[in-house]
Amino acid sequence: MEIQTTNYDKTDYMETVNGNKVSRKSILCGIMNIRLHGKTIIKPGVIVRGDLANVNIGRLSSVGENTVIRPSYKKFKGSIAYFPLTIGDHVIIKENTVISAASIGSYVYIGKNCVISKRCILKDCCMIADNTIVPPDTVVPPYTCYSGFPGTYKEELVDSFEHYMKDLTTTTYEHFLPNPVIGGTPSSLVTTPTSSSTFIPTSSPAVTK
Amino acid sequence: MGERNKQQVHSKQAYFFVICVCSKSFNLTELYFCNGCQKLNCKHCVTEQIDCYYCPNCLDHVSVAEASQNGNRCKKCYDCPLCFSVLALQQQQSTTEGGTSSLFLYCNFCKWNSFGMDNSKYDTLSILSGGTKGKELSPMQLEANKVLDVLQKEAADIASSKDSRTLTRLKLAQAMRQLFSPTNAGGSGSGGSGSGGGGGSGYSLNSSALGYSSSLANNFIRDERWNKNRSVASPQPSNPLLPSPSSSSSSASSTSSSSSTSNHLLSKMAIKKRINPIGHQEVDQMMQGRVEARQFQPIVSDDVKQDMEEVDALLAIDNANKINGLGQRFANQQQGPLLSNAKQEQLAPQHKQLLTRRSKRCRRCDKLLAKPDINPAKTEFKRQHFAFSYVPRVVVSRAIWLEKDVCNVQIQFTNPLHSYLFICFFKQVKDSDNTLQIYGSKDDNAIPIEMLTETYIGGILDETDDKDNQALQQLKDAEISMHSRFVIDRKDNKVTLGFLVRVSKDDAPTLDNDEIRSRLATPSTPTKKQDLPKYESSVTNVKFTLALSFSSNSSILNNLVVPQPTSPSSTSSLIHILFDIPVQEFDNTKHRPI
Repeated sequence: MEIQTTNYDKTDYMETVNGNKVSRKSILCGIMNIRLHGKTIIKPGVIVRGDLANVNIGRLSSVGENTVIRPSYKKFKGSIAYFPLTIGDHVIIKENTVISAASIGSYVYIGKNCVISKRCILKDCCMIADNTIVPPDTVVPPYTCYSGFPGTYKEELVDSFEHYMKDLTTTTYEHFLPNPVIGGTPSSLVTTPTSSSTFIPTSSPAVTK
Repeated sequence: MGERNKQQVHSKQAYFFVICVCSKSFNLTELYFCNGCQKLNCKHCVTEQIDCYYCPNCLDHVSVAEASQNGNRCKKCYDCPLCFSVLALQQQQSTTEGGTSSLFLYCNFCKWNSFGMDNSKYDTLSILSGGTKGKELSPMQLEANKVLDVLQKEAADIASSKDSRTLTRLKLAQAMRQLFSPTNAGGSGSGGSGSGGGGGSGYSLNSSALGYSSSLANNFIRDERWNKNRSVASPQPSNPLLPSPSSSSSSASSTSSSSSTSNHLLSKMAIKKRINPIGHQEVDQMMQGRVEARQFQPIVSDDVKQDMEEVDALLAIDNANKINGLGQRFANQQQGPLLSNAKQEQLAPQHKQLLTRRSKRCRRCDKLLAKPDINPAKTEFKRQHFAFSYVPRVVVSRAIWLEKDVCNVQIQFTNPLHSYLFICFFKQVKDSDNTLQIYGSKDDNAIPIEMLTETYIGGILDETDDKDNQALQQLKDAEISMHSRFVIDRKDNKVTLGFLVRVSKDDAPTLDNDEIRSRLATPSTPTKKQDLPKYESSVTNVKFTLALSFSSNSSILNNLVVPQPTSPSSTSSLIHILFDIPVQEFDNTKHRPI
């Protein structure tokens, strides 16, 4: 079936100039270090630990409910060094997943209930099936699907995966719309950002409340 | 993608499959579209060629020679013997020795480490140098290599024989052409009298005058080789500038064959060269060689006693977790067979298996369909002919029961191209022997009874083409005047069409077709799910097949005024789409069958 249009309450989401839709019920720590490149959806319950290191999320990506994005670290002679976390474009991350990879490429699909352990590198066009635990320091090459416990190489992906993900993320974004406004009054509730920078200018919902 | 994972990604969309020409059904993403023959190619309809080997962990490009030398495994990366995740290298804290710190292998997942292993194999030096010390082959490996050799030889034989068969056919065709072409008839027809002189002109005849592609011409050059060394893998680089192997052989006609190999097909020399008389002795020798190659030494001595010992050992086990699993034992086959009572300590880490990048070619016309970048980290394709970006994408947007056994299925078509796409739908498809056939899969339980016959979809950029304007206008007019009930929505490069589908294959409709038509004509005003009258379904899944042909050229719409096209035009491509919609997805199903 066609992807059904999901309507959300306009008051529940912040929308930036670039089309990012960030749930007010998500927790973004250290917003100055979190950068969303536009048209990214962050669902309720998501925790992004920008206070540890920089977090970059590309265009047309979506992060599912209750997912934790936490930059990874490594001990260097007693001190702990955090690595910045980069997530590419057209990435779909499903609900209840923990991400502490070093980098995630573009056109990546991560299923629900997954754990992407420390310092993992997910290249472009790869897929992590549902309920997978990817061990630390794993490299997931392009056009492969990793699944299992621990996540190991299981099968190859189709060659047109990139096109498929492009299509999927675009339709997902297009079908994620606010409830049709009745009377057109509640727009004042949404604080539209004034700054033109790509940072999320509004403060974290925890602070606003 | 495997069936299970496919379901995950496609989650709600997996209700349709496209049928390949070879009548197997696939998801659209798995198919290729050949431009040459305008048909779909599934994974069984393509020939694959390995472009490069690479390690999935370090993403290093590995040459073919190196890959085959190491048994298609990476020299540097190891798999954990217990959990198969990647092993990390860790530095050992130098404690008592006071010397240099050494490295060891360590699993980040299950905490396995290489302490206590055979030190010569997994010490610092051998790990870093890629395990050169562990090079000595086990008897198991030697046997495996023998098997591989035999298989490779036979595969090459089969490949070359297949090659030669097509080559003979092609050669015959060319010989006929040479015979009948007025310019060259004398030379070839007289049986080799002009074999020396006609070299240059003959070659030009091959490549240009007869319109042969260069690849085909190369095939002809290669043919000189197939006869000589059959055990060579068939796709060898053939360079017309290099002297072909046959010229260096003992054959007498080396001068003529090196200059142009492919033209004097009927010349005596060429015929003589190709026929190698084989005596009884050679045949016997060959047979004996095959039989010998097929005989392998038994790896496990079939001693009955051993089984008994094993049972005893199994009975003595107190902790089942200490037994290694089938997968673990299988991964350790290289060391020789392990018995089920082998200890986990006996398992050794294995080098990581390499992966490949493969280019795909059409099996019918040998056209290159997909060529990946040789760099393992890159995802670009040098050539891509995916069905996903050539064939209209299909999504079921809504399904409503109109009657107990009649439903309206709304299907959204998306045009992936930048130009207009014209689509024809068929109820019947003409067979090769001109008999009308109702197409469909064997487990179809429904048939589309009423639908639009022709329509168009705008391109992504919606650019207008002057050439097709007339046809477009005609379609648009017809849509407004007659077919508006079928077209539900039209936006950008998407169009949603309604199809009337009747469950049950037999011709005993509970409702007259005219009545159904009139029902469809009345706009389905109650759009909300609750307002629709509920119907009980007799089946759990509604399965039907849709045949459509599409083309970016409006010429397929040669019967614009005729409402019922019966056979697809040759310039377009015909595809069948298999739908399998569970009744739960219908808006108004009364009882949800469990």
